[in-house]
Amino acid sequence: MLITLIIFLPLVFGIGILFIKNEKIAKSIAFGFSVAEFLLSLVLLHRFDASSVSLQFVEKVEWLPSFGIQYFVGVDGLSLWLVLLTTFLMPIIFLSSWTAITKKVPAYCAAMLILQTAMLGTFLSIDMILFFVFWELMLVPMFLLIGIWGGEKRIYAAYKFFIYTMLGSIFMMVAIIVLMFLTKTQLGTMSSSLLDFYKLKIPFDSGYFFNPQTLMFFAFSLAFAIKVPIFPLHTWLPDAHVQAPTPGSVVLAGVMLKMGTYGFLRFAIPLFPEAAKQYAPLFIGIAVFGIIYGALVAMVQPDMKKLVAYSSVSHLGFCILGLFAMNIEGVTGSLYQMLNHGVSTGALFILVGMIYERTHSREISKYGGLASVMPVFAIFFFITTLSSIAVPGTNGFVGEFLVLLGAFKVNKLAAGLAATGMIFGAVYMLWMYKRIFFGTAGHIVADGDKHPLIDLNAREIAVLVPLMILIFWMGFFPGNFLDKTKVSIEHLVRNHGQYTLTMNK
Amino acid sequence: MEFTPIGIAESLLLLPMTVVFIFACIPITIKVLNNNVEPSNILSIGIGCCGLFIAAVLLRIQGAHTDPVFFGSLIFDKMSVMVNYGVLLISVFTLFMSNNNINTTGQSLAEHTFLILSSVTGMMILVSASDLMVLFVGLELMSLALYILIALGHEQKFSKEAAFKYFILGSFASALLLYGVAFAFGATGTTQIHLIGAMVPVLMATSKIFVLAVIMIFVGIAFKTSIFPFHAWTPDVYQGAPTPVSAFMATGVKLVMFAVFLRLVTEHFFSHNDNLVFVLQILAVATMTVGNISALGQENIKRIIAYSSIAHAGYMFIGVIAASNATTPDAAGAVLFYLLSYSVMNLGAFAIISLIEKEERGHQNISDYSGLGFKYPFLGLAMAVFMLALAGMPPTIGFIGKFYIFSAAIKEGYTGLAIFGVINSLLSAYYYLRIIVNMYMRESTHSVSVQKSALTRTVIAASLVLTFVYGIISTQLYRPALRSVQAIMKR
Repeated sequence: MLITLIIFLPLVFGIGILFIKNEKIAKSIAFGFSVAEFLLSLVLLHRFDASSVSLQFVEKVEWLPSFGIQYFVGVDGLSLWLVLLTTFLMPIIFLSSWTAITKKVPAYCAAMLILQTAMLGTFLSIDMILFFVFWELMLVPMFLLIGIWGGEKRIYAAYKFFIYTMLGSIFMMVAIIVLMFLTKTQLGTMSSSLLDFYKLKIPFDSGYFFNPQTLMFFAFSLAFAIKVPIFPLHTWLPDAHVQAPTPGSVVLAGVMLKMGTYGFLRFAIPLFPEAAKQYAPLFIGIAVFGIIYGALVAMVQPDMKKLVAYSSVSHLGFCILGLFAMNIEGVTGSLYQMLNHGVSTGALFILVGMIYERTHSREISKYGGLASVMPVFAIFFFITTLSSIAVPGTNGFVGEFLVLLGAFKVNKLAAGLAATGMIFGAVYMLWMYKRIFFGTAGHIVADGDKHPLIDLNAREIAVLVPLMILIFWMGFFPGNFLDKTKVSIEHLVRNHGQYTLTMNK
Repeated sequence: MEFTPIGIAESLLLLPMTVVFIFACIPITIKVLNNNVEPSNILSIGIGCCGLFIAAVLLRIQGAHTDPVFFGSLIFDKMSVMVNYGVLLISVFTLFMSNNNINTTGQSLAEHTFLILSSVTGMMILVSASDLMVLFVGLELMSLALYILIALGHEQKFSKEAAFKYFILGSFASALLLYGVAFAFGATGTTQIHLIGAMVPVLMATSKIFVLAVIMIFVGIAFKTSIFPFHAWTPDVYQGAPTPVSAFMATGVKLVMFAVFLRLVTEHFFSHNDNLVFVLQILAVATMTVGNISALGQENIKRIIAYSSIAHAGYMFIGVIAASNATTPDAAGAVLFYLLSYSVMNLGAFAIISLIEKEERGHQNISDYSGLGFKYPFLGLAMAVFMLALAGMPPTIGFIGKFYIFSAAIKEGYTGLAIFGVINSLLSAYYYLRIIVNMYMRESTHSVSVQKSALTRTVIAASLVLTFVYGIISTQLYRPALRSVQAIMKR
């Protein structure tokens, strides 16, 4: 019951909040509830058995028996931390948007909570159709979040987000149905369970592109690559990020992009091992290109939020690089990098949102000398910057280091180039930091009487402190986190080609 | 043929459609006897609904019969029972909507009720027809009532234009169908569907006349289901007709005509000829694509729904093609499920349109829907759900319907059609989203008032519930659908 409770409680509360008229009460309930949800997920963490590679807390109910589709959820080392990341970010998001979201507050809270259900469902589904249901369901609340509470070009961005993501998923749908019929021919009964899909021997011919395994690998990869987003498919991301309201950006960067990388980790690579192996160099190539491209484009952005958005393209390139290195270091680093990116980019978006709330401007050139006016803000921003550029002692370092370690074992050139991406990362982040916080007082700081440049208040500090703690905690004690994922990742990597999963009773 | 008198038991099977027709006559009889004074709206509708309800109860009591009756001209099998339930529900919803719609309410609601119920009688004959001539009779009864229904709208120009257009083109299509039946009779010596079906494998290869007959029958049905290239009337007629009538046509007519398609297809009317199957595949792709692409640029919401209904006919046609060579009932069952799911979503959407529209095409543009979502939370939410369901988003009935159709297509080896289908769902997402965007993301430019109507709201709420409930426990609807098509495949 635990997992079902975790998945569906937000939905129930989200629908309930729609009926509350008072904005303050709605906000408070949403926040209080998301804290409760986080505590519930801590129970999951506490009871999780880190020594087992099997799926835990499994729940299985027949759903559409004639197709072998089940309500089948479970958690293992690969998904555990992503679930916690989702539940952890949600109260922070509600608290950070306390004053930023002023219109249609109950609807906003409801959309957020329904989105949370969809995200958790995506991470916890083991049945592919169920996974797809949550995957698609996620689009709707995010579409509304961007479109209703977003910036000036929000409608364009919302369309682009929706259509782009759907473009990826429709081919995945066809591939899932094909796999279901394969289970019927190979295993006797039709099933859409991932555990059965793992057992399939999907025809593969390395000489030709048009063979079932390669085609389905690319059908899945397209869906996930758009979500990540991998380099040529990333164009929806800057639009969506810039136009989305701060909480939308945080969820988008913090959790939703991880679904792409999680999809590669859980589905695309283990389901189609031969095709993944054959086309790994391609993905490593575009990952490295994306790392450098994202960093270079971020460097020239005049808009803070856009800069952070492009930095995501760069950071997630590391995740893809690690995944397709297909060794323990690479995959571990990649999973860690997913969490890091959730924490540090989430924090960056929140910080940008805080300053935007005060000045209604995100243009870097208008700032300058902000550190003298808002010292506490400057400190928080600096810590987050350090995490984002992977300074040792922060979480970013552990992830990127492991990824590069894994990549070096496979492809020295790619690893070398990716390492330059880290340097570029330091350049654009520090340069932005310098332009905003130091130097002569800019346009906005100079006529500060027009914009109340008050330093952070207690609520905002309360939003940021947990994130800062996590940045250092994950930086100094990665073992606390990686212990839980270790056996699952080892099992995944060592059994490339004959990966199977079992269930704990 | 040996002469056997028609027994009482056989005649009793006609009771449901007879009841519908008798009840159809009551409101206008009252009107005539009462010096041409219109009975109150609620009375006409109440009598109509009573008739439909009694018919449903009779259907339930009689259950399904496996053998044809009346010398093989009518059959009351599981398929006809299930489709009849669907038709009755759709017509109840239509009557509910008619109560407060700007174009139907007022002086001629008694006639309106009479015509709807007559049309339903025609539909019930149509789905039970196991003889091509009876099929034609049912088709004409249904269509003639519809021609008048469209013209009965209060709008001065558009409804008359639509009625005339539909009449001319519809008669042409009926004539082609009849011509096809005549050719089929010439080639086979019978008009009974299953007797013809038994001869299809031989005749397809040997008789050019028979191929022509099949094509003409196809054209006749394709016109009513708006398959490309016989779709052009759809937007004009749906737009011009009073909204409840549009809803009735978009759901009821599609439902029964696709049921007829399924009957013919399971008798392998459209198989055993590779060229024909290939052409049908092209038509399916063209229907979806033309419908969706045309809908992209529309501003009038009824036209959008009309074009979308063309696209949906295309999706269903994929299932029909998959069913044409199938040995399992999956594909045909998927079509039947999709028809019912499509009807639910469309009825809900039309009900909302019917509440918002004003005289002479007023407040039918999607710009009139600006800001509606927050102003009328229930209507906005319902409309958003119907649009997302039509776009095929989970966990609604629209998603699961598409899943059944596409998986059946893949199963029967039409993966290409399934891929075209999903690409089309993507295309369609844009115009469905446009409506949501207008409702929730744009400020309203002028104030739009909404009719107060408990009955229409009931339709919306019921459709909303069905959209979700059968989206989640779809097996409860899919199993009966499978059983019904199994019944027509066994014979």
